[in-house]
Amino acid sequence: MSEPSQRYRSKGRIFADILRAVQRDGQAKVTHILYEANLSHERLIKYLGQLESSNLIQRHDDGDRLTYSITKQGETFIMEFRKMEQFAEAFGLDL
Amino acid sequence: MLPPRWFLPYDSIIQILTAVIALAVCLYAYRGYKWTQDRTLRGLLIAFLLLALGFFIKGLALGYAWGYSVGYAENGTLVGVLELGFWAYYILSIAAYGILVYAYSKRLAAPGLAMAVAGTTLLLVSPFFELICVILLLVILIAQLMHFMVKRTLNAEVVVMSFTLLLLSHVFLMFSRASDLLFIIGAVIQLMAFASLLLVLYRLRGAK
Repeated sequence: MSEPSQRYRSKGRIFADILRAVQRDGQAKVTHILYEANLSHERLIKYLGQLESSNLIQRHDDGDRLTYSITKQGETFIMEFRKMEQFAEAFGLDL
Repeated sequence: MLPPRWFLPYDSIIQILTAVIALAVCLYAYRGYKWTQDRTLRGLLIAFLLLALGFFIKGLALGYAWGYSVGYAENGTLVGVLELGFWAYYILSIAAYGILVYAYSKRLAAPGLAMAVAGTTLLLVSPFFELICVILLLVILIAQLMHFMVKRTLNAEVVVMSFTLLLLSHVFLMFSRASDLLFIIGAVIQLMAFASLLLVLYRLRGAK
Protein backbone atom coordinates (compact mmCIF):
# COMPACT_ATOMS: atom_id res chain seq x y z
CA MET A 1 0.00 0.00 0.00
CA SER A 2 1.27 3.48 -0.84
CA GLU A 3 2.24 6.11 1.73
CA PRO A 4 -0.49 8.60 2.62
CA SER A 5 1.60 11.51 1.34
CA GLN A 6 1.97 9.87 -2.09
CA ARG A 7 -1.58 8.72 -2.63
CA TYR A 8 -4.11 10.45 -4.83
CA ARG A 9 -6.06 13.16 -3.01
CA SER A 10 -9.40 14.28 -4.39
CA LYS A 11 -10.26 17.97 -4.42
CA GLY A 12 -12.72 17.32 -1.60
CA ARG A 13 -9.97 15.67 0.51
CA ILE A 14 -7.62 18.63 -0.12
CA PHE A 15 -10.37 21.09 0.83
CA ALA A 16 -11.05 19.12 4.00
CA ASP A 17 -7.33 19.01 4.91
CA ILE A 18 -7.02 22.79 4.47
CA LEU A 19 -10.23 23.49 6.38
CA ARG A 20 -9.14 21.22 9.25
CA ALA A 21 -5.81 23.05 9.45
CA VAL A 22 -7.62 26.41 9.54
CA GLN A 23 -10.12 25.15 12.11
CA ARG A 24 -7.39 23.82 14.42
CA ASP A 25 -5.68 27.23 14.52
CA GLY A 26 -8.74 29.46 14.69
CA GLN A 27 -6.89 32.14 12.73
CA ALA A 28 -4.36 30.28 10.60
CA LYS A 29 -1.35 31.73 8.80
CA VAL A 30 -0.61 30.59 5.25
CA THR A 31 2.72 29.00 6.28
CA HIS A 32 0.95 26.90 8.90
CA ILE A 33 -1.77 25.76 6.48
CA LEU A 34 0.97 24.98 3.95
CA TYR A 35 2.64 22.66 6.43
CA GLU A 36 -0.56 21.00 7.65
CA ALA A 37 -2.17 20.49 4.24
CA ASN A 38 1.04 19.27 2.59
CA LEU A 39 0.69 21.35 -0.59
CA SER A 40 2.95 23.53 -2.68
CA HIS A 41 2.59 27.29 -2.11
CA GLU A 42 1.18 27.82 -5.60
CA ARG A 43 -1.50 25.15 -5.22
CA LEU A 44 -2.40 26.28 -1.73
CA ILE A 45 -2.99 29.87 -2.87
CA LYS A 46 -5.21 28.55 -5.68
CA TYR A 47 -7.25 26.41 -3.26
CA LEU A 48 -7.50 29.17 -0.64
CA GLY A 49 -8.97 31.42 -3.34
CA GLN A 50 -11.54 28.73 -4.23
CA LEU A 51 -12.42 28.13 -0.58
CA GLU A 52 -12.85 31.84 0.00
CA SER A 53 -15.07 32.31 -3.05
CA SER A 54 -17.15 29.31 -1.91
CA ASN A 55 -17.54 31.06 1.46
CA LEU A 56 -15.91 28.18 3.35
CA ILE A 57 -13.13 30.35 4.80
CA GLN A 58 -12.73 34.03 5.58
CA ARG A 59 -9.61 36.08 4.82
CA HIS A 60 -8.23 38.55 7.38
CA ASP A 61 -5.59 40.95 6.06
CA ASP A 62 -4.38 43.51 8.58
CA GLY A 63 -1.37 44.87 6.75
CA ASP A 64 1.61 42.72 7.69
CA ARG A 65 -0.34 39.64 8.80
CA LEU A 66 -2.56 37.50 6.54
CA THR A 67 -4.70 34.86 8.25
CA TYR A 68 -7.72 32.72 7.47
CA SER A 69 -10.59 31.56 9.66
CA ILE A 70 -13.27 28.97 9.00
CA THR A 71 -16.89 29.94 8.33
CA LYS A 72 -20.07 28.15 9.43
CA GLN A 73 -20.31 26.65 5.91
CA GLY A 74 -16.71 25.48 6.22
CA GLU A 75 -17.56 23.68 9.46
CA THR A 76 -20.54 22.06 7.75
CA PHE A 77 -18.25 20.91 4.92
CA ILE A 78 -15.88 19.25 7.41
CA MET A 79 -18.81 17.53 9.14
CA GLU A 80 -20.21 16.24 5.83
CA PHE A 81 -16.78 15.12 4.70
CA ARG A 82 -16.30 13.22 7.96
CA LYS A 83 -19.61 11.41 7.41
CA MET A 84 -18.55 10.48 3.88
CA GLU A 85 -15.19 9.25 5.16
CA GLN A 86 -17.06 6.98 7.59
CA PHE A 87 -19.38 5.84 4.79
CA ALA A 88 -16.47 4.94 2.50
CA GLU A 89 -14.57 3.38 5.43
CA ALA A 90 -17.57 1.15 6.17
CA PHE A 91 -17.20 -0.22 2.63
CA GLY A 92 -13.48 -0.70 3.13
CA LEU A 93 -12.59 2.22 0.88
CA ASP A 94 -10.68 5.47 1.44
CA LEU A 95 -11.63 8.91 0.18
CA MET B 1 -32.99 -19.89 -11.44
CA LEU B 2 -36.77 -19.70 -11.46
CA PRO B 3 -38.82 -19.05 -8.35
CA PRO B 4 -41.63 -21.45 -7.54
CA ARG B 5 -44.82 -20.01 -9.10
CA TRP B 6 -46.52 -19.31 -5.76
CA PHE B 7 -43.44 -17.33 -4.68
CA LEU B 8 -43.51 -14.96 -7.71
CA PRO B 9 -45.40 -12.06 -6.03
CA TYR B 10 -43.29 -12.32 -2.87
CA ASP B 11 -40.08 -12.46 -4.86
CA SER B 12 -41.24 -9.45 -6.86
CA ILE B 13 -41.79 -7.48 -3.63
CA ILE B 14 -38.40 -8.60 -2.26
CA GLN B 15 -36.65 -7.40 -5.45
CA ILE B 16 -38.44 -4.01 -5.40
CA LEU B 17 -37.61 -3.52 -1.70
CA THR B 18 -33.97 -4.43 -2.39
CA ALA B 19 -33.95 -1.92 -5.27
CA VAL B 20 -35.25 0.84 -2.98
CA ILE B 21 -32.50 0.15 -0.40
CA ALA B 22 -29.82 0.05 -3.12
CA LEU B 23 -31.15 3.38 -4.37
CA ALA B 24 -30.93 4.82 -0.85
CA VAL B 25 -27.23 3.82 -0.68
CA CYS B 26 -26.73 5.32 -4.15
CA LEU B 27 -28.34 8.62 -3.09
CA TYR B 28 -26.20 8.78 0.05
CA ALA B 29 -23.06 8.29 -2.05
CA TYR B 30 -24.34 10.91 -4.51
CA ARG B 31 -24.80 13.42 -1.70
CA GLY B 32 -21.19 12.84 -0.68
CA TYR B 33 -19.99 13.01 -4.27
CA LYS B 34 -21.64 16.42 -4.66
CA TRP B 35 -19.66 17.68 -1.66
CA THR B 36 -16.34 16.05 -2.36
CA GLN B 37 -16.19 15.16 -6.11
CA ASP B 38 -14.40 12.02 -4.94
CA ARG B 39 -14.06 9.18 -7.47
CA THR B 40 -14.45 6.47 -4.81
CA LEU B 41 -17.90 7.81 -3.99
CA ARG B 42 -18.64 8.10 -7.72
CA GLY B 43 -17.82 4.38 -8.05
CA LEU B 44 -20.10 3.48 -5.14
CA LEU B 45 -22.97 5.60 -6.44
CA ILE B 46 -22.76 4.12 -9.96
CA ALA B 47 -22.47 0.55 -8.61
CA PHE B 48 -25.51 0.91 -6.35
CA LEU B 49 -27.48 2.71 -9.07
CA LEU B 50 -26.87 -0.24 -11.41
CA LEU B 51 -27.83 -2.69 -8.65
CA ALA B 52 -31.01 -0.72 -7.92
CA LEU B 53 -31.93 -0.72 -11.63
CA GLY B 54 -31.22 -4.44 -11.93
CA PHE B 55 -33.34 -5.39 -8.89
CA PHE B 56 -36.11 -3.05 -10.00
CA ILE B 57 -36.26 -4.52 -13.52
CA LYS B 58 -36.18 -8.08 -12.12
CA GLY B 59 -38.93 -7.19 -9.64
CA LEU B 60 -41.10 -5.74 -12.40
CA ALA B 61 -40.51 -8.78 -14.64
CA LEU B 62 -41.46 -11.15 -11.82
CA GLY B 63 -44.54 -9.07 -11.02
CA TYR B 64 -45.49 -9.11 -14.70
CA ALA B 65 -45.05 -12.89 -14.88
CA TRP B 66 -47.31 -13.30 -11.86
CA GLY B 67 -49.88 -10.68 -12.90
CA TYR B 68 -50.25 -11.96 -16.47
CA SER B 69 -49.76 -15.62 -15.52
CA VAL B 70 -46.78 -15.97 -17.85
CA GLY B 71 -45.85 -19.62 -18.03
CA TYR B 72 -42.37 -21.08 -17.86
CA ALA B 73 -41.20 -22.89 -20.99
CA GLU B 74 -41.48 -26.67 -20.85
CA ASN B 75 -37.76 -27.20 -20.44
CA GLY B 76 -37.79 -24.88 -17.44
CA THR B 77 -36.15 -21.92 -19.18
CA LEU B 78 -37.37 -18.36 -19.00
CA VAL B 79 -39.55 -16.83 -21.68
CA GLY B 80 -40.27 -13.35 -23.03
CA VAL B 81 -40.42 -10.47 -20.57
CA LEU B 82 -39.25 -12.63 -17.69
CA GLU B 83 -36.18 -13.65 -19.66
CA LEU B 84 -35.40 -10.05 -20.62
CA GLY B 85 -35.82 -8.99 -16.99
CA PHE B 86 -33.39 -11.64 -15.76
CA TRP B 87 -30.86 -10.78 -18.49
CA ALA B 88 -31.00 -7.09 -17.56
CA TYR B 89 -30.67 -7.97 -13.86
CA TYR B 90 -27.59 -10.16 -14.39
CA ILE B 91 -25.85 -7.75 -16.77
CA LEU B 92 -26.46 -4.76 -14.45
CA SER B 93 -25.45 -6.73 -11.32
CA ILE B 94 -22.24 -8.02 -12.90
CA ALA B 95 -21.38 -4.49 -14.10
CA ALA B 96 -22.06 -3.14 -10.59
CA TYR B 97 -19.92 -5.78 -8.85
CA GLY B 98 -17.24 -5.20 -11.50
CA ILE B 99 -17.16 -1.49 -10.65
CA LEU B 100 -16.84 -2.35 -6.95
CA VAL B 101 -14.00 -4.77 -7.70
CA TYR B 102 -12.28 -1.97 -9.63
CA ALA B 103 -12.76 0.41 -6.69
CA TYR B 104 -11.10 -2.15 -4.42
CA SER B 105 -8.39 -3.00 -6.97
CA LYS B 106 -5.72 -0.85 -5.27
CA ARG B 107 -6.26 -2.74 -2.05
CA LEU B 108 -6.29 -6.16 -3.65
CA ALA B 109 -3.19 -8.24 -4.13
CA ALA B 110 -2.57 -10.22 -7.31
CA PRO B 111 -4.74 -13.23 -6.32
CA GLY B 112 -7.77 -11.03 -5.93
CA LEU B 113 -7.24 -9.40 -9.29
CA ALA B 114 -6.68 -12.78 -10.88
CA MET B 115 -10.05 -13.90 -9.54
CA ALA B 116 -11.65 -10.76 -10.96
CA VAL B 117 -10.13 -11.51 -14.36
CA ALA B 118 -11.31 -15.10 -14.08
CA GLY B 119 -14.80 -13.79 -13.32
CA THR B 120 -14.77 -11.57 -16.40
CA THR B 121 -13.53 -14.45 -18.54
CA LEU B 122 -16.34 -16.63 -17.24
CA LEU B 123 -18.77 -13.93 -18.34
CA LEU B 124 -17.70 -14.58 -21.92
CA VAL B 125 -17.74 -18.35 -21.82
CA SER B 126 -20.23 -19.36 -19.18
CA PRO B 127 -23.99 -19.06 -18.98
CA PHE B 128 -23.85 -19.34 -15.20
CA PHE B 129 -24.34 -15.70 -14.26
CA GLU B 130 -24.82 -16.55 -10.61
CA LEU B 131 -21.35 -18.05 -10.56
CA ILE B 132 -19.88 -14.84 -11.97
CA CYS B 133 -21.68 -12.81 -9.29
CA VAL B 134 -20.32 -15.21 -6.65
CA ILE B 135 -16.74 -14.79 -7.89
CA LEU B 136 -16.96 -10.99 -8.05
CA LEU B 137 -18.59 -10.85 -4.61
CA LEU B 138 -15.85 -13.08 -3.24
CA VAL B 139 -13.21 -10.62 -4.48
CA ILE B 140 -15.14 -7.69 -2.94
CA LEU B 141 -15.45 -9.57 0.35
CA ILE B 142 -11.71 -10.35 0.45
CA ALA B 143 -10.93 -6.63 -0.05
CA GLN B 144 -13.42 -5.65 2.66
CA LEU B 145 -11.99 -8.19 5.09
CA MET B 146 -8.45 -6.92 4.40
CA HIS B 147 -9.61 -3.41 5.28
CA PHE B 148 -11.56 -4.67 8.29
CA MET B 149 -8.44 -6.30 9.72
CA VAL B 150 -6.80 -2.86 9.79
CA LYS B 151 -9.75 -0.64 10.70
CA ARG B 152 -12.35 -2.38 12.83
CA THR B 153 -15.53 -0.33 13.08
CA LEU B 154 -19.10 -1.44 13.70
CA ASN B 155 -20.20 -0.01 10.34
CA ALA B 156 -17.46 -1.93 8.51
CA GLU B 157 -18.51 -5.09 10.38
CA VAL B 158 -22.12 -4.65 9.23
CA VAL B 159 -21.05 -4.03 5.61
CA VAL B 160 -18.86 -7.17 5.68
CA MET B 161 -21.82 -9.11 7.08
CA SER B 162 -24.07 -7.63 4.40
CA PHE B 163 -21.78 -8.67 1.53
CA THR B 164 -21.32 -12.12 3.10
CA LEU B 165 -25.10 -12.53 3.11
CA LEU B 166 -25.26 -11.28 -0.48
CA LEU B 167 -22.63 -13.82 -1.49
CA LEU B 168 -24.55 -16.58 0.31
CA SER B 169 -27.79 -15.56 -1.38
CA HIS B 170 -26.17 -15.98 -4.81
CA VAL B 171 -24.81 -19.38 -3.76
CA PHE B 172 -28.29 -20.48 -2.66
CA LEU B 173 -29.81 -19.18 -5.91
CA MET B 174 -27.11 -20.96 -7.91
CA PHE B 175 -28.20 -24.31 -6.45
CA SER B 176 -31.91 -23.53 -6.38
CA ARG B 177 -32.65 -25.97 -9.21
CA ALA B 178 -32.21 -28.66 -6.57
CA SER B 179 -34.92 -27.34 -4.31
CA ASP B 180 -37.46 -24.48 -4.22
CA LEU B 181 -36.57 -23.95 -0.59
CA LEU B 182 -33.03 -22.91 -1.58
CA PHE B 183 -34.50 -20.23 -3.86
CA ILE B 184 -36.70 -18.85 -1.10
CA ILE B 185 -33.83 -18.83 1.41
CA GLY B 186 -31.63 -17.09 -1.19
CA ALA B 187 -34.21 -14.37 -1.82
CA VAL B 188 -34.78 -13.76 1.90
CA ILE B 189 -31.03 -13.62 2.60
CA GLN B 190 -30.61 -11.11 -0.23
CA LEU B 191 -33.19 -8.83 1.40
CA MET B 192 -31.45 -9.23 4.78
CA ALA B 193 -28.13 -8.26 3.16
CA PHE B 194 -29.52 -4.99 1.87
CA ALA B 195 -31.47 -4.34 5.07
CA SER B 196 -28.12 -4.39 6.93
CA LEU B 197 -26.84 -1.72 4.54
CA LEU B 198 -29.85 0.36 5.49
CA LEU B 199 -28.78 0.01 9.11
CA VAL B 200 -25.35 1.44 8.20
CA LEU B 201 -27.01 4.42 6.49
CA TYR B 202 -29.16 4.98 9.56
CA ARG B 203 -26.13 4.90 11.85
CA LEU B 204 -24.19 7.29 9.60
CA ARG B 205 -27.11 9.74 9.53
CA GLY B 206 -26.58 10.50 13.18
CA ALA B 207 -22.76 10.35 13.05
CA LYS B 208 -20.76 13.41 14.07
